[in-house]
Amino acid sequence: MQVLQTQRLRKEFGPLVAVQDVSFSVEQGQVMGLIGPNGAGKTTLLRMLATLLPPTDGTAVICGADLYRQPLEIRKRIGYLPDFFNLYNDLTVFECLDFSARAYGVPEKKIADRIDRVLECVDLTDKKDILCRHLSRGMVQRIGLAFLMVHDPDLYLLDEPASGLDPIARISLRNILKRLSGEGKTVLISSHVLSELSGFCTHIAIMDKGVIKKFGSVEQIQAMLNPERIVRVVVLDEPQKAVSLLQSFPDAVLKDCSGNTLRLTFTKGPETIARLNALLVSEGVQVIELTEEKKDLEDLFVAISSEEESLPHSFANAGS
Amino acid sequence: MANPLIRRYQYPLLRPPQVWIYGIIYLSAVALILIVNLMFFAKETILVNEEPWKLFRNLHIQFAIFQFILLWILAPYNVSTVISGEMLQKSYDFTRLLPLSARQKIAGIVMGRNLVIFFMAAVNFLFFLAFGLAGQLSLPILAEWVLFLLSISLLFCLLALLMSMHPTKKRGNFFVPMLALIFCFGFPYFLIVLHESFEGKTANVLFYCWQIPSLLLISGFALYFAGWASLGGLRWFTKEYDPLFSPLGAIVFLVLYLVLVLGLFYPYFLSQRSMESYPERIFFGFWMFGLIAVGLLPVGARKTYEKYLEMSRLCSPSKLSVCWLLRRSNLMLAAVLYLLWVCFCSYACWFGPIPISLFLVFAAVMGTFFCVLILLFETSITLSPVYPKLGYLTGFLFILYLFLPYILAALFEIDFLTAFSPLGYFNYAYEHYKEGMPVSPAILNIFFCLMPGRLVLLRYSQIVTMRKGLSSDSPLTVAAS
Repeated sequence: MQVLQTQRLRKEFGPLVAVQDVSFSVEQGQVMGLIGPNGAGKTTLLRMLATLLPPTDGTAVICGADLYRQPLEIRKRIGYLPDFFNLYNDLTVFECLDFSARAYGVPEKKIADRIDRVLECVDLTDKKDILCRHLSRGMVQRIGLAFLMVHDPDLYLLDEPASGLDPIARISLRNILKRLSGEGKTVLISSHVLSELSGFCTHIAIMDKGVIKKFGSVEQIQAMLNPERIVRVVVLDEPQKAVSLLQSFPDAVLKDCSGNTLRLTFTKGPETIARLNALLVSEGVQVIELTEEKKDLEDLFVAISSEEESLPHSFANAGS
Repeated sequence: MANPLIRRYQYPLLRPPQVWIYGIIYLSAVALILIVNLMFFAKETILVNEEPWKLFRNLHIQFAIFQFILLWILAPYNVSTVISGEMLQKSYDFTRLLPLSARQKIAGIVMGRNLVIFFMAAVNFLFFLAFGLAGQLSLPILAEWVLFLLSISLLFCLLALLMSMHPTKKRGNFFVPMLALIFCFGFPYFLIVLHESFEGKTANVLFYCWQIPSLLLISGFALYFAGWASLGGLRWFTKEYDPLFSPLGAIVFLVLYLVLVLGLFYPYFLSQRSMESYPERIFFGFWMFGLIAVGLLPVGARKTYEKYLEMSRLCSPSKLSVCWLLRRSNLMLAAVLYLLWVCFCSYACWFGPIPISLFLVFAAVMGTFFCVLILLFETSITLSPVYPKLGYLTGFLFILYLFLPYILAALFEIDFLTAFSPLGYFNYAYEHYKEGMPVSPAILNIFFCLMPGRLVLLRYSQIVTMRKGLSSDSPLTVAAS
């Protein structure tokens, strides 16, 4: 079931096109990471989806409600966390969550229990009676998530939730997000720090200059990144022997050799790598390292960002 | 508590550590009023044998002033700080996203933020009424007073909310200009009414043919405007980026407003028949009140450039044209409003001795002034995305247009030159209408209209071209067509 679908969503600020005809869809239970440099249009896109900013053109259907015609319906069913925010500074943590629960129509009897569960989830049970203005940045970020979680939205829109946090707060936030992901929640999360998203995103969209340049599942993105397997072999000695053995191995091509390190390209699956390892060992070559080199998201991001031409249609198929 | 927003404000306002502070301040203020008055009264009784009812009437008036401070100043101030404060705190996005109806949001902010103030005001009303009755004031006068205080308070609170809430601009607190407004227009009248109250009477005002107590009439007007302010609030809480008035709303507002203003002028129109010198001048007053609304409404109902884009998005490309856009533009609305004003004023001419032809010439020339101003305004709106500071230029031209003729008139000592300013023309016509209305400013105005008119049409044409280009394969446009 599609929770979010956009069609040619566009936002112009005068002569600046902040978001340019963006189309993608997110299925229920997917965790989509929206990656892009500052000024890529991520916040504008999220604010449009959160009904806070009217699009210039295009349309979107969120949780079955039309972005133009049913904004109130959408607001009931999403949880949006802005990039820079504070909660109500004159309220305590409990009052804040109580207010959210009541405003979003959580039944009176369930409110206390829901608040307790959410506070436990964000690990702030002991801060229940503290005024929000006395919380640290990391705690505010977690309470912000709790503010959304208390009404259990169908779709979370999180705009750079880890920005400005110290490493410990980041880990804590990451755990909460993993937990949401584990519970099958649909999440659209933006970030310009790629390491924040790896590990729990099921899908990735890479955005630059208002355009989504690549979109797909993590596997699809990995496949795009690594169309061929590159394996690095480090031997203790006799690299020439290893080279001659490799040259006779049918499913691998030697890319380069420097010192005791050889880099090979494989066109077949992981069993070929295992066969090669067995061959080397059986021929008396002392292998001390055999690893597959994988490009990470950062490499892809840099590669795509440096592309001159946008690829507006390449993602459309991947998204559908 | 059914409204979550009221509960949200209830939390910080009614925390035990601060409730007692509010309580002590209020009780001290009340005690101070009572003690000072009793001491004065005791002294006056010894000196001039003052009657007790005067003490109570004095107290009644002081509690009226107390209510004035609570309901007309503090309550609107509290409301005006809600949204600007949340914007400053960066929590407004959460409030905007709350899935509460606009009505709940308005009621929640006005009532919730003023829980303490309204509680104090409710207690004050008991004192106010008790001392009024003890001071030999009649119950209808007291009821009028209560209505007067409450209706103005409601109007100010809603206006304060409205002035603070537009999401496209990070506005500061508008309460200071509002306070100035209250003191300029509200307070002098409040003092007059207080004085009358001290005498135990309220003045009646003629509204059409009816004698209505002035407090009641003002309350009626305040409720009328409060009704529109609440509609504006509802509109901005549901359609945040829409103009304050829809075109239909602006037309209905103007018609009802003119009906109300006509009610105030009507008795004067009739009585002017018997006057010998300058009986027509009262009509200028009516025209002016109408023109103020006609001038301000297009500002409140203005469609922005983004709104034009949004409107044109919903039109099928085959139907979209400059004419289509023009029919839905700010220019068209301004023209309709102006024509409505002309119709109303022409109708009002039947009640008095002013020839309708005189008014029509006046209206035609004023119409050309209006055209220049509206075209400048529209130029600024449609071109501001390209030239963000264009508003300054058009604002400067606007000021120049208003005041340069006055400067030239003073420089060359030719009084007639003032008629080339819209303000000056009104004044000149008022002074010299017996000699006929001057029409020459209209020619210059038509010339002034050419450049902005051309720019606006060009911009409309660009919007049409751009939208057609954008929506060539847009699914939404296909659906609309």
